[in-house]
Amino acid sequence: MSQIKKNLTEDLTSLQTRINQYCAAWTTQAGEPDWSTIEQLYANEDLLHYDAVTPHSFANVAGMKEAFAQMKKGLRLTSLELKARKNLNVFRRGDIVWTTVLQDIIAKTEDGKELKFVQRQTGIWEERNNNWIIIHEHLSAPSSLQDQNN
Amino acid sequence: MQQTLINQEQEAFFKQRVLDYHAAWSPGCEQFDIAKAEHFYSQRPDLSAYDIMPTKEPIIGWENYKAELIQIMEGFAKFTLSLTQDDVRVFQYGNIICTTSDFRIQGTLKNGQPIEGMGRTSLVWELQADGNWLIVHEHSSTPINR
Repeated sequence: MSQIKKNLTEDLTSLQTRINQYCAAWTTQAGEPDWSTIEQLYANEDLLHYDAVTPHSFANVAGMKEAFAQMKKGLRLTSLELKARKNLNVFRRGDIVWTTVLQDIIAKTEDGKELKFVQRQTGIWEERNNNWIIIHEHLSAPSSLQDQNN
Repeated sequence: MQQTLINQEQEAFFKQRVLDYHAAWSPGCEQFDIAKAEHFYSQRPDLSAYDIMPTKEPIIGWENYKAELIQIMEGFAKFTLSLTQDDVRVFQYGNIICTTSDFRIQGTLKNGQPIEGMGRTSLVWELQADGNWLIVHEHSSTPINR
């Protein structure tokens, strides 16, 4: 028999709060996320995190910083906004939880363009020192499978 | 608690299991048979998944996911996933195993349109009472090229 517990009230409350902190940390009006908060959201060891865009994976926050700088320059990004929807699911097995939630993203560029998309997030979290820490993350957006002729 | 170091035997077991799972999802030109894949999954209603095609909401429960997967695969005349053991990583956290894998997708839709791309899958595996490890969460996707 499975020992997975789905959507316990205390898990929904604490993870929704944590994911809202996550979205706030990645949201920026000045071009830079709140890296000090982001560093506290992820485990401080080399793991694997899949991003929705290429380069598609990172081992740690240092890799995210490097990719973000490249993306900011490439897209001439002026601001980024993330907002989690209220469709959070939390699955618990012992001391580990995994979550699914959709996040609305709005990216604005120097030339006034506004890019909007919905991001699907899987987070695997572990509670360390009374804080939920991401030990694996998979972010994705609608399929980018390419027509070979394009 | 931090990531538990997995021994070589366990790592080899899960790498092979992930390769077998991908083989089940890689029918080539043959007709896809869900029976070859479904034994990897928990059949319980607490299974959760994001599949590779552009559905937004996560799918909850095996019966819902199975119906979605069959519908997706019916759209392909050819569907092949390519990866090696080096493309699979295995992490243990407490009582669960998380595997990640990177692979190439090549295929043809039934309307003749070829598709090609890079894919990634994260799987959460749970040990069952009978000693079998089953997938309880799946997230498959293709990254956006920016």
